[in-house]
Amino acid sequence: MLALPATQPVSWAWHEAPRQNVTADVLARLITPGPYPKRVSLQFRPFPAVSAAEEAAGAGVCLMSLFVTVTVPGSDEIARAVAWTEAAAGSSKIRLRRMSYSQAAGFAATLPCGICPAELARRMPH
Amino acid sequence: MTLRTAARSQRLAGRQARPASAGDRGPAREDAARLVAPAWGWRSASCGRAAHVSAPPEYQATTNQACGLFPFVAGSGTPVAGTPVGRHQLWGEVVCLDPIAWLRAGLVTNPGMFVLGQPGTGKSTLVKRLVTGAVATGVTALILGDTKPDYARLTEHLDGQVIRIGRGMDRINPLDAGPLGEALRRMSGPDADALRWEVRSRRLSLLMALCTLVREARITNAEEVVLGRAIDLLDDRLAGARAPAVTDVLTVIEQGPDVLRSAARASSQHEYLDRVGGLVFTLDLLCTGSLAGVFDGPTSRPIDLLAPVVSVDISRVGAAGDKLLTAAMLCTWAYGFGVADAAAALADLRVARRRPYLAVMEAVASPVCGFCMNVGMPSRNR
Repeated sequence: MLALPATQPVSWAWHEAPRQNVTADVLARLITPGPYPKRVSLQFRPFPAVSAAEEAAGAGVCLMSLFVTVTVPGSDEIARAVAWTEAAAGSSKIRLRRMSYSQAAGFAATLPCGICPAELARRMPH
Repeated sequence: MTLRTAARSQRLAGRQARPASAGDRGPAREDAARLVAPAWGWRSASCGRAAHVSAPPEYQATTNQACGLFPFVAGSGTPVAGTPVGRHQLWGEVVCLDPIAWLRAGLVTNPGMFVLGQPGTGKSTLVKRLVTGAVATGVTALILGDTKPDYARLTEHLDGQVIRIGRGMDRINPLDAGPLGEALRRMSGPDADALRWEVRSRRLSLLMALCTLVREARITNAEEVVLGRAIDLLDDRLAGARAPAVTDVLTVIEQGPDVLRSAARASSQHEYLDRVGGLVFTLDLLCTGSLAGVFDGPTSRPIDLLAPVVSVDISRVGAAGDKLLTAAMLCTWAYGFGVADAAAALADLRVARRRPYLAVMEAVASPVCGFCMNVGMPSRNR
Protein backbone atom coordinates (compact mmCIF):
# COMPACT_ATOMS: atom_id res chain seq x y z
CA MET A 1 0.00 0.00 0.00
CA LEU A 2 1.41 3.32 -1.05
CA ALA A 3 1.61 5.79 1.83
CA LEU A 4 0.55 9.18 0.53
CA PRO A 5 1.77 12.28 2.34
CA ALA A 6 -0.92 14.28 4.13
CA THR A 7 -1.77 16.91 1.53
CA GLN A 8 -3.09 20.27 2.50
CA PRO A 9 -5.16 22.52 0.25
CA VAL A 10 -5.60 26.29 0.51
CA SER A 11 -8.45 27.99 -1.33
CA TRP A 12 -9.10 31.56 -2.34
CA ALA A 13 -11.88 33.50 -4.00
CA TRP A 14 -11.09 36.63 -5.90
CA HIS A 15 -11.42 39.88 -4.02
CA GLU A 16 -10.91 42.21 -6.90
CA ALA A 17 -10.99 41.74 -10.66
CA PRO A 18 -8.43 43.63 -12.77
CA ARG A 19 -9.00 47.36 -12.35
CA GLN A 20 -7.25 48.42 -15.51
CA ASN A 21 -7.67 47.58 -19.16
CA VAL A 22 -6.24 44.15 -19.75
CA THR A 23 -5.31 42.00 -22.70
CA ALA A 24 -6.78 38.57 -23.40
CA ASP A 25 -3.74 36.77 -21.94
CA VAL A 26 -3.96 38.47 -18.54
CA LEU A 27 -4.85 35.21 -16.77
CA ALA A 28 -1.86 33.36 -18.21
CA ARG A 29 0.38 33.86 -15.17
CA LEU A 30 -2.28 32.63 -12.78
CA ILE A 31 -3.30 29.65 -14.90
CA THR A 32 0.12 28.38 -16.04
CA PRO A 33 1.14 25.18 -14.19
CA GLY A 34 3.73 25.62 -11.48
CA PRO A 35 5.59 23.76 -8.74
CA TYR A 36 2.43 23.21 -6.70
CA PRO A 37 -0.69 21.50 -8.02
CA LYS A 38 -3.25 24.22 -8.50
CA ARG A 39 -6.74 24.57 -9.83
CA VAL A 40 -8.44 27.76 -10.99
CA SER A 41 -12.13 27.89 -11.71
CA LEU A 42 -14.05 30.77 -13.27
CA GLN A 43 -17.76 30.60 -12.63
CA PHE A 44 -20.32 32.44 -14.72
CA ARG A 45 -23.93 32.71 -13.67
CA PRO A 46 -26.09 33.94 -16.53
CA PHE A 47 -28.53 36.60 -15.45
CA PRO A 48 -32.16 36.23 -16.26
CA ALA A 49 -33.11 38.70 -18.92
CA VAL A 50 -32.55 42.33 -18.03
CA SER A 51 -33.16 45.12 -20.44
CA ALA A 52 -29.69 46.42 -20.95
CA ALA A 53 -28.64 48.24 -24.02
CA GLU A 54 -25.88 45.77 -24.74
CA GLU A 55 -28.19 42.87 -24.24
CA ALA A 56 -30.42 44.32 -26.88
CA ALA A 57 -27.33 44.25 -29.11
CA GLY A 58 -26.98 40.49 -28.57
CA ALA A 59 -24.79 40.18 -25.46
CA GLY A 60 -25.75 38.23 -22.35
CA VAL A 61 -25.31 39.44 -18.81
CA CYS A 62 -23.69 37.28 -16.18
CA LEU A 63 -22.25 37.26 -12.70
CA MET A 64 -18.70 36.01 -12.53
CA SER A 65 -16.49 34.78 -9.71
CA LEU A 66 -13.10 33.12 -9.56
CA PHE A 67 -11.65 30.48 -7.20
CA VAL A 68 -8.16 29.15 -6.76
CA THR A 69 -6.98 26.11 -4.79
CA VAL A 70 -3.37 25.12 -4.32
CA THR A 71 -2.40 21.79 -2.79
CA VAL A 72 0.86 21.14 -0.95
CA PRO A 73 2.25 17.77 0.12
CA GLY A 74 2.83 18.80 3.75
CA SER A 75 2.28 21.75 6.06
CA ASP A 76 5.93 22.87 5.75
CA GLU A 77 5.39 24.20 2.27
CA ILE A 78 2.13 26.05 2.79
CA ALA A 79 3.70 29.48 3.26
CA ARG A 80 5.75 29.14 0.08
CA ALA A 81 2.81 27.83 -1.95
CA VAL A 82 0.54 30.64 -0.68
CA ALA A 83 3.12 33.29 -1.54
CA TRP A 84 3.66 31.77 -4.96
CA THR A 85 -0.05 31.61 -5.75
CA GLU A 86 -0.78 35.14 -4.55
CA ALA A 87 2.16 36.47 -6.53
CA ALA A 88 0.90 34.67 -9.63
CA ALA A 89 -2.56 36.19 -9.11
CA GLY A 90 -0.93 39.59 -8.66
CA SER A 91 0.79 39.23 -12.03
CA SER A 92 -2.64 38.59 -13.49
CA LYS A 93 -3.96 41.80 -11.86
CA ILE A 94 -6.24 39.84 -9.58
CA ARG A 95 -6.36 40.17 -5.82
CA LEU A 96 -7.23 37.03 -3.91
CA ARG A 97 -8.77 36.63 -0.48
CA ARG A 98 -8.51 33.41 1.44
CA MET A 99 -11.89 31.84 2.03
CA SER A 100 -11.82 31.94 5.81
CA TYR A 101 -14.04 29.32 7.41
CA SER A 102 -15.11 28.31 3.89
CA GLN A 103 -12.10 26.30 2.82
CA ALA A 104 -14.17 23.18 2.23
CA ALA A 105 -16.57 25.02 -0.07
CA GLY A 106 -13.65 26.74 -1.83
CA PHE A 107 -11.94 23.41 -2.38
CA ALA A 108 -15.12 21.90 -3.80
CA ALA A 109 -15.67 24.93 -6.02
CA THR A 110 -12.40 24.24 -7.83
CA LEU A 111 -13.31 20.62 -8.52
CA PRO A 112 -15.18 19.91 -11.72
CA CYS A 113 -18.32 18.83 -9.85
CA GLY A 114 -20.63 21.79 -10.16
CA ILE A 115 -20.34 23.41 -6.73
CA CYS A 116 -21.23 27.09 -6.84
CA PRO A 117 -20.50 28.88 -3.53
CA ALA A 118 -22.36 31.99 -4.66
CA GLU A 119 -25.49 29.92 -5.04
CA LEU A 120 -24.88 27.86 -1.88
CA ALA A 121 -24.37 30.94 0.30
CA ARG A 122 -27.91 32.01 -0.56
CA ARG A 123 -29.23 28.64 0.48
CA MET A 124 -27.89 28.78 4.03
CA PRO A 125 -30.01 26.38 6.07
CA HIS A 126 -31.81 27.79 9.09
CA MET B 1 -14.56 12.42 3.78
CA THR B 2 -15.48 10.68 0.57
CA LEU B 3 -15.22 7.24 2.16
CA ARG B 4 -17.48 8.14 5.00
CA THR B 5 -20.02 9.68 2.67
CA ALA B 6 -19.96 6.56 0.56
CA ALA B 7 -20.42 4.37 3.64
CA ARG B 8 -23.37 6.45 4.66
CA SER B 9 -25.05 6.32 1.29
CA GLN B 10 -24.56 2.56 1.36
CA ARG B 11 -26.25 2.41 4.75
CA LEU B 12 -29.07 4.53 3.44
CA ALA B 13 -29.35 2.42 0.33
CA GLY B 14 -29.57 -0.67 2.55
CA ARG B 15 -32.33 0.96 4.50
CA GLN B 16 -34.18 1.74 1.34
CA ALA B 17 -33.85 -1.81 0.13
CA ARG B 18 -35.97 -2.91 3.09
CA PRO B 19 -39.16 -4.55 1.78
CA ALA B 20 -41.82 -1.89 1.69
CA SER B 21 -45.52 -2.58 1.71
CA ALA B 22 -47.88 -0.68 -0.57
CA GLY B 23 -49.01 1.65 2.19
CA ASP B 24 -45.42 2.44 3.21
CA ARG B 25 -44.95 5.18 0.65
CA GLY B 26 -44.35 8.07 3.04
CA PRO B 27 -41.16 6.86 4.79
CA ALA B 28 -39.79 5.45 1.53
CA ARG B 29 -40.03 8.86 -0.08
CA GLU B 30 -38.38 10.36 2.96
CA ASP B 31 -35.51 7.86 2.62
CA ALA B 32 -35.16 8.65 -1.05
CA ALA B 33 -34.88 12.33 -0.19
CA ARG B 34 -32.09 11.48 2.22
CA LEU B 35 -30.10 9.81 -0.54
CA VAL B 36 -29.62 13.21 -2.16
CA ALA B 37 -27.52 15.35 0.15
CA PRO B 38 -28.84 18.77 1.12
CA ALA B 39 -26.99 21.72 -0.36
CA TRP B 40 -24.49 21.99 2.51
CA GLY B 41 -24.20 18.26 3.13
CA TRP B 42 -25.85 15.88 5.56
CA ARG B 43 -26.46 17.32 8.96
CA SER B 44 -24.52 14.72 10.86
CA ALA B 45 -21.04 14.19 12.27
CA SER B 46 -18.35 13.12 9.78
CA CYS B 47 -20.62 13.51 6.79
CA GLY B 48 -18.65 16.25 5.10
CA ARG B 49 -21.08 19.00 5.90
CA ALA B 50 -19.78 22.47 5.10
CA ALA B 51 -19.33 24.50 8.29
CA HIS B 52 -19.78 27.74 6.40
CA VAL B 53 -20.05 28.94 2.83
CA SER B 54 -19.09 32.55 2.38
CA ALA B 55 -20.47 34.33 -0.64
CA PRO B 56 -17.64 35.20 -3.01
CA PRO B 57 -17.55 38.63 -4.62
CA GLU B 58 -19.34 38.45 -7.95
CA TYR B 59 -18.86 40.90 -10.79
CA GLN B 60 -21.67 41.68 -13.09
CA ALA B 61 -20.56 41.86 -16.68
CA THR B 62 -21.92 41.47 -20.14
CA THR B 63 -20.51 38.62 -22.18
CA ASN B 64 -18.76 41.26 -24.30
CA GLN B 65 -16.65 42.17 -21.26
CA ALA B 66 -16.48 38.84 -19.41
CA CYS B 67 -14.74 37.14 -22.31
CA GLY B 68 -11.78 39.45 -21.65
CA LEU B 69 -10.71 37.15 -18.82
CA PHE B 70 -10.02 34.37 -21.27
CA PRO B 71 -9.14 31.18 -19.36
CA PHE B 72 -7.54 29.16 -22.16
CA VAL B 73 -4.34 31.12 -22.51
CA ALA B 74 -1.95 28.58 -20.99
CA GLY B 75 -1.24 25.07 -22.14
CA SER B 76 -2.55 22.36 -19.92
CA GLY B 77 -0.06 20.76 -17.58
CA THR B 78 2.17 17.88 -18.54
CA PRO B 79 0.14 14.69 -18.94
CA VAL B 80 0.12 12.43 -15.91
CA ALA B 81 0.83 9.28 -17.92
CA GLY B 82 3.69 7.15 -16.71
CA THR B 83 6.30 7.22 -13.99
CA PRO B 84 7.02 10.57 -12.29
CA VAL B 85 10.61 11.37 -13.26
CA GLY B 86 11.15 14.91 -12.04
CA ARG B 87 10.04 18.50 -12.27
CA HIS B 88 9.52 20.67 -15.33
CA GLN B 89 12.53 22.91 -15.93
CA LEU B 90 10.37 26.01 -16.45
CA TRP B 91 7.15 25.53 -14.52
CA GLY B 92 8.33 23.19 -11.77
CA GLU B 93 5.39 20.83 -12.14
CA VAL B 94 5.75 17.06 -12.05
CA VAL B 95 6.73 15.39 -15.33
CA CYS B 96 5.83 11.77 -16.04
CA LEU B 97 7.49 9.47 -18.53
CA ASP B 98 6.86 5.90 -19.56
CA PRO B 99 7.12 4.90 -23.21
CA ILE B 100 4.37 2.29 -22.99
CA ALA B 101 2.02 4.54 -20.99
CA TRP B 102 2.70 7.33 -23.48
CA LEU B 103 1.91 5.00 -26.36
CA ARG B 104 -1.34 3.95 -24.70
CA ALA B 105 -2.27 7.57 -24.02
CA GLY B 106 -1.65 8.36 -27.69
CA LEU B 107 1.17 10.82 -26.94
CA VAL B 108 3.66 8.94 -29.11
CA THR B 109 3.26 6.56 -32.01
CA ASN B 110 6.38 4.50 -31.33
CA PRO B 111 7.57 3.38 -27.92
CA GLY B 112 11.28 3.32 -28.78
CA MET B 113 13.47 5.53 -26.64
CA PHE B 114 17.10 6.61 -26.69
CA VAL B 115 18.84 8.03 -23.65
CA LEU B 116 21.97 10.01 -24.39
CA GLY B 117 24.16 11.86 -21.95
CA GLN B 118 27.66 12.49 -20.71
CA PRO B 119 29.18 10.03 -18.24
CA GLY B 120 27.87 10.38 -14.73
CA THR B 121 24.85 12.50 -15.57
CA GLY B 122 22.30 9.87 -14.55
CA LYS B 123 21.39 7.90 -17.67
CA SER B 124 21.16 4.58 -15.91
CA THR B 125 19.53 6.16 -12.85
CA LEU B 126 16.76 7.45 -15.11
CA VAL B 127 16.39 4.09 -16.82
CA LYS B 128 16.28 2.35 -13.43
CA ARG B 129 13.45 4.61 -12.37
CA LEU B 130 11.56 3.93 -15.60
CA VAL B 131 12.07 0.20 -15.09
CA THR B 132 10.79 0.39 -11.52
CA GLY B 133 7.70 2.31 -12.60
CA ALA B 134 7.03 0.05 -15.58
CA VAL B 135 7.32 -3.10 -13.45
CA ALA B 136 4.87 -1.58 -10.97
CA THR B 137 2.33 -1.26 -13.79
CA GLY B 138 2.64 -4.86 -14.93
CA VAL B 139 5.28 -4.53 -17.64
CA THR B 140 8.05 -7.11 -17.82
CA ALA B 141 11.47 -5.49 -18.05
CA LEU B 142 14.29 -7.25 -19.87
CA ILE B 143 17.75 -5.81 -19.17
CA LEU B 144 19.61 -7.23 -22.14
CA GLY B 145 23.28 -6.89 -21.42
CA ASP B 146 24.14 -5.06 -18.25
CA THR B 147 27.83 -4.18 -18.53
CA LYS B 148 28.49 -2.47 -15.19
CA PRO B 149 26.41 -4.21 -13.55
CA ASP B 150 23.97 -1.38 -12.88
CA TYR B 151 20.75 -3.32 -12.62
CA ALA B 152 21.59 -6.42 -10.57
CA ARG B 153 20.57 -4.95 -7.22
CA LEU B 154 17.40 -3.38 -8.61
CA THR B 155 16.44 -6.68 -10.23
CA GLU B 156 16.94 -8.55 -6.97
CA HIS B 157 14.97 -5.88 -5.12
CA LEU B 158 12.07 -6.36 -7.54
CA ASP B 159 12.20 -10.18 -7.13
CA GLY B 160 13.47 -10.58 -10.66
CA GLN B 161 15.93 -12.99 -12.20
CA VAL B 162 19.61 -12.11 -12.65
CA ILE B 163 21.51 -14.20 -15.19
CA ARG B 164 25.27 -13.74 -14.87
CA ILE B 165 27.07 -14.64 -18.08
CA GLY B 166 30.75 -15.53 -17.90
CA ARG B 167 33.27 -18.33 -17.72
CA GLY B 168 32.36 -20.70 -14.90
CA MET B 169 29.04 -18.87 -14.50
CA ASP B 170 25.88 -18.94 -16.58
CA ARG B 171 26.12 -19.85 -20.27
CA ILE B 172 23.95 -18.87 -23.22
CA ASN B 173 23.64 -21.25 -26.12
CA PRO B 174 23.31 -19.16 -29.29
CA LEU B 175 21.44 -22.03 -30.95
CA ASP B 176 18.90 -22.27 -28.16
CA ALA B 177 15.53 -21.10 -29.40
CA GLY B 178 14.63 -20.44 -25.76
CA PRO B 179 10.94 -20.10 -25.01
CA LEU B 180 10.26 -19.93 -28.77
CA GLY B 181 11.04 -23.66 -28.88
CA GLU B 182 8.52 -24.21 -26.11
CA ALA B 183 5.92 -22.21 -28.07
CA LEU B 184 6.73 -24.21 -31.18
CA ARG B 185 6.01 -27.51 -29.43
CA ARG B 186 2.48 -26.35 -28.64
CA MET B 187 1.72 -25.12 -32.15
CA SER B 188 0.70 -26.86 -35.35
CA GLY B 189 -0.25 -26.01 -38.92
CA PRO B 190 0.99 -23.09 -41.00
CA ASP B 191 1.61 -20.93 -37.91
CA ALA B 192 4.05 -23.51 -36.58
CA ASP B 193 5.83 -23.69 -39.95
CA ALA B 194 6.17 -19.92 -40.08
CA LEU B 195 7.55 -19.84 -36.56
CA ARG B 196 9.91 -22.73 -37.31
CA TRP B 197 11.42 -20.80 -40.22
CA GLU B 198 11.67 -17.73 -38.06
CA VAL B 199 13.53 -19.67 -35.36
CA ARG B 200 15.85 -21.18 -37.94
CA SER B 201 16.75 -17.84 -39.47
CA ARG B 202 17.33 -16.29 -36.07
CA ARG B 203 19.70 -19.03 -34.98
CA LEU B 204 21.53 -18.99 -38.27
CA SER B 205 22.00 -15.25 -38.33
CA LEU B 206 23.17 -15.25 -34.71
CA LEU B 207 25.66 -18.04 -35.36
CA MET B 208 26.94 -16.23 -38.44
CA ALA B 209 27.31 -13.02 -36.48
CA LEU B 210 29.41 -14.82 -33.88
CA CYS B 211 31.52 -16.46 -36.57
CA THR B 212 32.07 -13.14 -38.33
CA LEU B 213 33.10 -11.67 -35.00
CA VAL B 214 35.82 -14.25 -34.24
CA ARG B 215 37.01 -14.41 -37.85
CA GLU B 216 37.06 -10.64 -38.31
CA ALA B 217 36.02 -11.23 -41.91
CA ARG B 218 32.86 -12.19 -43.74
CA ILE B 219 31.46 -15.70 -43.85
CA THR B 220 31.25 -16.93 -47.46
CA ASN B 221 28.01 -17.99 -49.08
CA ALA B 222 29.16 -21.60 -49.28
CA GLU B 223 29.90 -21.61 -45.55
CA GLU B 224 26.49 -20.12 -44.82
CA VAL B 225 24.77 -22.85 -46.80
CA VAL B 226 26.74 -25.53 -44.92
CA LEU B 227 26.00 -23.95 -41.54
CA GLY B 228 22.28 -23.82 -42.30
CA ARG B 229 22.20 -27.42 -43.46
CA ALA B 230 24.20 -28.54 -40.43
CA ILE B 231 21.70 -26.93 -38.06
CA ASP B 232 18.79 -28.60 -39.89
CA LEU B 233 20.57 -31.93 -39.73
CA LEU B 234 21.20 -31.57 -36.00
CA ASP B 235 17.57 -30.63 -35.41
CA ASP B 236 16.48 -33.81 -37.20
CA ARG B 237 18.93 -35.95 -35.23
CA LEU B 238 18.12 -34.48 -31.82
CA ALA B 239 14.38 -34.35 -32.63
CA GLY B 240 13.70 -31.66 -30.02
CA ALA B 241 15.32 -33.59 -27.16
CA ARG B 242 17.65 -30.68 -26.60
CA ALA B 243 18.93 -27.66 -28.49
CA PRO B 244 22.09 -28.22 -30.56
CA ALA B 245 25.24 -26.51 -29.29
CA VAL B 246 28.08 -24.92 -31.24
CA THR B 247 30.28 -27.95 -30.47
CA ASP B 248 27.66 -30.21 -32.10
CA VAL B 249 27.76 -28.06 -35.24
CA LEU B 250 31.54 -28.28 -35.29
CA THR B 251 31.47 -32.08 -34.89
CA VAL B 252 28.93 -32.65 -37.62
CA ILE B 253 30.72 -30.38 -40.08
CA GLU B 254 34.01 -32.19 -39.39
CA GLN B 255 32.34 -35.57 -39.90
CA GLY B 256 31.05 -34.35 -43.26
CA PRO B 257 28.00 -36.56 -43.82
CA ASP B 258 26.60 -36.85 -47.36
CA VAL B 259 23.92 -34.23 -46.80
CA LEU B 260 26.51 -31.61 -45.98
CA ARG B 261 28.83 -32.72 -48.73
CA SER B 262 26.09 -32.31 -51.32
CA ALA B 263 25.11 -28.98 -49.80
CA ALA B 264 28.73 -27.86 -50.26
CA ARG B 265 28.53 -29.08 -53.93
CA ALA B 266 31.69 -31.08 -53.24
CA SER B 267 32.36 -34.21 -55.32
CA SER B 268 35.08 -35.56 -53.05
CA GLN B 269 36.03 -35.50 -49.38
CA HIS B 270 39.06 -33.43 -50.33
CA GLU B 271 36.95 -30.79 -52.05
CA TYR B 272 34.54 -30.73 -49.08
CA LEU B 273 37.36 -30.09 -46.60
CA ASP B 274 38.61 -27.38 -48.87
CA ARG B 275 35.22 -25.63 -48.69
CA VAL B 276 34.63 -25.92 -44.95
CA GLY B 277 38.22 -25.81 -43.69
CA GLY B 278 38.00 -22.12 -42.73
CA LEU B 279 34.61 -22.62 -41.13
CA VAL B 280 35.88 -25.46 -38.95
CA PHE B 281 38.61 -23.28 -37.52
CA THR B 282 36.19 -20.41 -36.97
CA LEU B 283 33.79 -22.65 -35.06
CA ASP B 284 36.68 -24.19 -33.17
CA LEU B 285 37.84 -20.74 -32.12
CA LEU B 286 34.31 -20.02 -30.88
CA CYS B 287 34.56 -23.06 -28.61
CA THR B 288 38.21 -22.94 -27.57
CA GLY B 289 39.47 -19.39 -28.19
CA SER B 290 38.92 -16.31 -26.06
CA LEU B 291 35.19 -17.02 -26.09
CA ALA B 292 35.56 -20.54 -24.65
CA GLY B 293 33.24 -21.52 -21.83
CA VAL B 294 30.56 -18.92 -22.56
CA PHE B 295 28.71 -19.94 -25.73
CA ASP B 296 29.80 -23.52 -26.31
CA GLY B 297 27.38 -25.45 -24.12
CA PRO B 298 23.69 -25.67 -23.37
CA THR B 299 21.99 -22.66 -21.78
CA SER B 300 22.57 -23.13 -18.05
CA ARG B 301 19.85 -20.86 -16.73
CA PRO B 302 16.84 -20.27 -18.98
CA ILE B 303 14.97 -16.99 -18.73
CA ASP B 304 12.09 -17.16 -16.28
CA LEU B 305 9.03 -16.09 -18.28
CA LEU B 306 7.11 -15.19 -15.13
CA ALA B 307 9.78 -12.98 -13.54
CA PRO B 308 8.86 -9.27 -13.43
CA VAL B 309 12.43 -8.28 -14.39
CA VAL B 310 15.15 -10.30 -16.06
CA SER B 311 18.63 -8.84 -16.03
CA VAL B 312 21.39 -10.45 -18.07
CA ASP B 313 24.62 -9.35 -16.42
CA ILE B 314 27.52 -9.50 -18.86
CA SER B 315 29.94 -7.45 -16.78
CA ARG B 316 32.26 -10.44 -16.17
CA VAL B 317 32.49 -10.95 -19.90
CA GLY B 318 33.41 -7.34 -20.46
CA ALA B 319 36.60 -7.75 -18.43
CA ALA B 320 37.73 -10.36 -20.98
CA GLY B 321 37.70 -7.94 -23.90
CA ASP B 322 35.52 -6.13 -26.39
CA LYS B 323 35.10 -9.09 -28.73
CA LEU B 324 33.64 -11.29 -26.04
CA LEU B 325 31.44 -8.42 -24.82
CA THR B 326 30.05 -7.84 -28.30
CA ALA B 327 29.37 -11.55 -28.70
CA ALA B 328 27.62 -11.67 -25.33
CA MET B 329 25.45 -8.70 -26.27
CA LEU B 330 24.49 -10.26 -29.61
CA CYS B 331 23.42 -13.47 -27.91
CA THR B 332 21.63 -11.66 -25.12
CA TRP B 333 19.65 -9.47 -27.48
CA ALA B 334 18.71 -12.38 -29.72
CA TYR B 335 17.67 -14.43 -26.70
CA GLY B 336 15.71 -11.56 -25.16
CA PHE B 337 13.76 -10.79 -28.31
CA GLY B 338 13.11 -14.50 -28.64
CA VAL B 339 11.49 -14.32 -25.20
CA ALA B 340 9.21 -11.42 -26.17
CA ASP B 341 8.21 -13.12 -29.43
CA ALA B 342 7.61 -16.43 -27.68
CA ALA B 343 5.40 -14.74 -25.11
CA ALA B 344 3.38 -13.20 -27.95
CA ALA B 345 3.07 -16.58 -29.67
CA LEU B 346 1.97 -18.25 -26.43
CA ALA B 347 -0.55 -15.46 -25.81
CA ASP B 348 -1.96 -16.03 -29.31
CA LEU B 349 -2.48 -19.66 -28.30
CA ARG B 350 -4.18 -18.44 -25.13
CA VAL B 351 -1.83 -20.43 -22.91
CA ALA B 352 -0.25 -17.32 -21.41
CA ARG B 353 -1.31 -13.82 -20.54
CA ARG B 354 -0.30 -11.16 -23.06
CA ARG B 355 2.15 -8.84 -21.41
CA PRO B 356 4.06 -5.85 -22.64
CA TYR B 357 7.85 -5.97 -22.55
CA LEU B 358 10.34 -3.23 -21.99
CA ALA B 359 13.82 -4.07 -23.22
CA VAL B 360 16.81 -2.07 -22.00
CA MET B 361 19.85 -2.36 -24.20
CA GLU B 362 23.15 -0.71 -23.59
CA ALA B 363 25.35 0.53 -26.40
CA VAL B 364 28.74 -1.14 -26.61
CA ALA B 365 31.53 1.09 -25.26
CA SER B 366 31.14 3.62 -28.03
CA PRO B 367 32.23 7.25 -28.18
CA VAL B 368 28.60 8.25 -27.84
CA CYS B 369 28.28 6.72 -24.37
CA GLY B 370 24.65 6.06 -24.91
CA PHE B 371 21.96 3.91 -23.53
CA CYS B 372 19.75 2.50 -26.15
CA MET B 373 16.41 1.64 -24.79
CA ASN B 374 14.13 -0.17 -27.12
CA VAL B 375 10.80 -0.54 -25.57
CA GLY B 376 8.50 -2.93 -27.19
CA MET B 377 5.15 -4.37 -27.25
CA PRO B 378 5.89 -7.82 -28.64
CA SER B 379 6.84 -7.35 -32.24
CA ARG B 380 4.96 -10.39 -33.50
CA ASN B 381 1.44 -9.36 -34.26
CA ARG B 382 -0.33 -12.50 -35.28
